[in-house]
Amino acid sequence: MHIAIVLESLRSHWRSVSAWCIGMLAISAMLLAMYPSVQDSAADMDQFIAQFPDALRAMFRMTDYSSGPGYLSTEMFSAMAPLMFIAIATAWGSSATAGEEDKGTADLLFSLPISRTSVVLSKAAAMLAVLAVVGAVLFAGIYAGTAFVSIELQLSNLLAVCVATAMLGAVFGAVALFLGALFGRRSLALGISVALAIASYLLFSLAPLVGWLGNLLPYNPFEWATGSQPLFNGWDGPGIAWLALTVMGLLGGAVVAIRRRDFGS
Amino acid sequence: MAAQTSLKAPKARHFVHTPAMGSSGAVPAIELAAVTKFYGRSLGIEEVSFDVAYGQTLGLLGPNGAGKTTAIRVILGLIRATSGRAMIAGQDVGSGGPAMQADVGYLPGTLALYEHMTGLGFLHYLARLRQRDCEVRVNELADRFDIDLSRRIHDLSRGNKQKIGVVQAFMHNPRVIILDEPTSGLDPIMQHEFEALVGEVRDEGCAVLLSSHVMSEVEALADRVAILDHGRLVTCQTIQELRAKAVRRLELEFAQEVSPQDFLGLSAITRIEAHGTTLSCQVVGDETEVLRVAVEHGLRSVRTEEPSLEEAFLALVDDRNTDVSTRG
Repeated sequence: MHIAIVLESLRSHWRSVSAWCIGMLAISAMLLAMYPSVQDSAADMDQFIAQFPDALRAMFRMTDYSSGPGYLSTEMFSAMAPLMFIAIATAWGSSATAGEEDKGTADLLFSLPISRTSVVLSKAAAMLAVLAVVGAVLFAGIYAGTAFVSIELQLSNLLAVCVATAMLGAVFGAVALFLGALFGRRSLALGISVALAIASYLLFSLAPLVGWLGNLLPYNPFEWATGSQPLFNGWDGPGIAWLALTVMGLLGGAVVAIRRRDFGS
Repeated sequence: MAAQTSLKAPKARHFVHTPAMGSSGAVPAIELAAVTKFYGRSLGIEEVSFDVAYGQTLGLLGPNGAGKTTAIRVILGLIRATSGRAMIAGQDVGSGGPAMQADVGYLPGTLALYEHMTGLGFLHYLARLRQRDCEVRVNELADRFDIDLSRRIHDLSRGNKQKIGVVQAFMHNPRVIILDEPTSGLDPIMQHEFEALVGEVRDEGCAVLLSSHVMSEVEALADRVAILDHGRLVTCQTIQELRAKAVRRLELEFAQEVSPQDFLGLSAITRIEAHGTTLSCQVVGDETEVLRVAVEHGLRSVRTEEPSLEEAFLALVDDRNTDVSTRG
């Protein structure tokens, strides 16, 4: 790994990283600000939701909606946060080496006395660092917000869900990075990885409704990250392990792909 | 042309090549040994061999699409040869690892820089990646090429970007310098400065490989020329040798009318025309015999033009029944 590449990647994108952090904070603040009204009408709300079709409640994993963890699970961590992390990660992953190739700077970068493996791992490290930063901001933002609205949250559960969600992003970011190393084209890597993420999300959401889709859940990164409802149940060790192994596997694939790659036209 | 025929025979090309021994007997700085590169099923280069010694400049010449950039990319390890070996300082590029690039400076043909950086920021970044302190040389080269390094690269003209490309190729004082179409975008004054710089580092013992489709550039810079066409090496020889094979025109002025018949037996003459007391002939190779016979017939004056490399190049490529002369 080459620290100069990591730092330069972060430095040249600090604006977009800041924007994502602000976005995360804004959404957290908005959701938390709305929570008191949900809580005030808890009885009505629970009754209201009880009338929802089972399918809809299952789809949005609406467990105990009016409770703090239930509210945040549904509103923040079932779709919003995962998709934001995936957006950040796929943007970074696809532009890692494929971005250099698209811009034409790969020629210079890969003719330097740095191994290709080192370049890929440095780019991956920058991506993971950004996810960690945005995840930390989300964690801190929600934690700070709960002081203003009365939400009972276990700190370690909040940490568990933030880590799991950021790692879910990392999985699809690693897909994008791998495809970028394989094909050398940013748009292709971004397109396929986003399509895969959306497909996984749909399969995860629809699984409670369509019987046979349930069989696929054990292979779905969304299930690994949020299937066990970490805000209620805390750390899901196997889920985190699967996420981590998948990221490592994909990064290993990216190293192999970049070492075999012919650069340029 | 005899030399050329032998070069065209694949066996001969393998045979004449002694691995790890350059023309000077020492380990060459750059060496390509029977390198073939296919892109999928389309050919990049085929069985190309040449070497560059330290203290020598080799010009890689050929029309667009001849395989110059492919050859360079193989040397840099950016693409892997389908067969054959590329070596830097006697070490195989494929297995030598990234450390061997430390002593190489490279100016890409289609130069792309990190547009959001300033010139100085960009050069510092590359220096950090090379883990070298290049500050003194950077300042010296920036002065010499009159570059404002404080401006964002995005805001620079093409010529100024090219200058930054030149600086990054030379800033770490590499012993092996590879330049792909180096002077594109440089104005004539900067081109001259660039030629001086290449001459200096060559004299200091660096090996320089430069590709170009501009004959005058290669003529000004190179000691030897390797000509590529349609992915194959047409010839690799010194500028003088190449020029000697070039087609030249001789205008011979005599005291009285002469008959072209008297000159027809001479092998150097490929075409001859008489206009009164003037003979115009096309000559290839050694012209002393032509001049000797002319003196016997009462020669009064001779006019000749030094053949340009372009003519030599076109003669060689034409000889291969190709249609590239218009593209060169």
